[in-house]
Amino acid sequence: MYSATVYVKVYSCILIMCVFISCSENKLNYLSKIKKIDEFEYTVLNEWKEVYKDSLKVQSWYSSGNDSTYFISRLSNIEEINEQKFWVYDYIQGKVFEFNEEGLITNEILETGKGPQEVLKPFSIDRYIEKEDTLVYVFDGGNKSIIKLNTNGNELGRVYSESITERMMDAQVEILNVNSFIYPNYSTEKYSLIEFDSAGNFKKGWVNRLVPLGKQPVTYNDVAFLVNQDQELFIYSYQGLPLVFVTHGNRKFVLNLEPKVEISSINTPLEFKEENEGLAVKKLIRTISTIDDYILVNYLSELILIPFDKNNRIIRYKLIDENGNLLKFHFMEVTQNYIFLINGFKGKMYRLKKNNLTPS
Amino acid sequence: MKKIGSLFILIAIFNLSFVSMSEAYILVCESEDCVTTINTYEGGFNWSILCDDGSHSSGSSTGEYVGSCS
Repeated sequence: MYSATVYVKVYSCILIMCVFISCSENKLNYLSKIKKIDEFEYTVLNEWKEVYKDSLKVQSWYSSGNDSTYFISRLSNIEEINEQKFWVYDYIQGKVFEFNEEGLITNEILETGKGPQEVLKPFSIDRYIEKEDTLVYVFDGGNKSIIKLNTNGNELGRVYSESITERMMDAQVEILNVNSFIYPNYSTEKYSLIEFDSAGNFKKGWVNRLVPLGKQPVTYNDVAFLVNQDQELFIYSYQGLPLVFVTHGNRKFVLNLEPKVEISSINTPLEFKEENEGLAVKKLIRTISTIDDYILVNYLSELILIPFDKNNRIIRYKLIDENGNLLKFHFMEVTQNYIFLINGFKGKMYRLKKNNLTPS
Repeated sequence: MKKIGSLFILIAIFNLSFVSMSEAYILVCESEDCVTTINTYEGGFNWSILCDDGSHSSGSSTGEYVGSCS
């Protein structure tokens, strides 16, 4: 006969093994393929005070086809130049248009071509304030150029950059200063997001590649990000994964928006294949921004406000259009005063004021 | 798929591996529930597919185009 002590020991061992197996099962397989994830505290939504669901009505601001003078082939993003002017690029036609406050196209800022006041494949427009002057930078993959303009749309100059390539489409750019730009790179072995100087020379790697060079699905390397140097804040996401990586001063955490879901059930499996195999990756996280003390994440067609402080609640917004239908959109742009939601399939832009999202 | 406005309808078939010209253009899906932007460059091509259901996928390859809304 075994003593009670032996039974207790055996049961204890079984219990410990069960706990271990259970923990292992909760660890999602794809997470092990993400370099440096262990440097971040792993968090999930329900660690915050509450996850509150809300809806917001948005107004249509622009609809393609309503203008007989101008036509936009591909609508993807917008920049607020000032309270009266908004610029939009057309990657297909190779043009930059100016909109007024009412959402009407008033002017062509850049036309198609290789000369001054011309672009070929514009993929980003970014406003930057240097001393007291507001400058606007247009990034052109077709001409491999960074074009500097004033707010009247006059070209002030352009620099050729080897790291701006024809492959860039929907690539995000952040301007740190007039000689530091952060944008994606597809040909370096280690990094997918890099800081370059204005001539295209490497300065610093910001995000590691997820998929190795020469392997598929390569668009898992696409990154949405935000940098705020004053706040020591850097937030990024691989757009095909439901993870938000946050570095805020000394604090580092990664938030999993789908903690119970393996990536293969919502996106292309994160398994490395040969380069010539065509694989598409769904963009789950489209844009990252901040509003006050909140991180704003555009996850699919939903907006999620995440407070830095876990004692506050997370708010998940569904957007409702003027007909009462759930809004479906592909791009989000946060400008000085507005949040633009863009349906590139229908060629429509919707707009809401930023303060509509600020929790009371 | 059909191309909006143009010359390259003949090459707008699923296998785009023979496209060597550097250009960007839009294809409308056969079911008309999506548009794909194809960008060709030296050494390959990439694409971005926008669907009526709000989904957005992208890919880059030297081989075949495999975008879909499913």
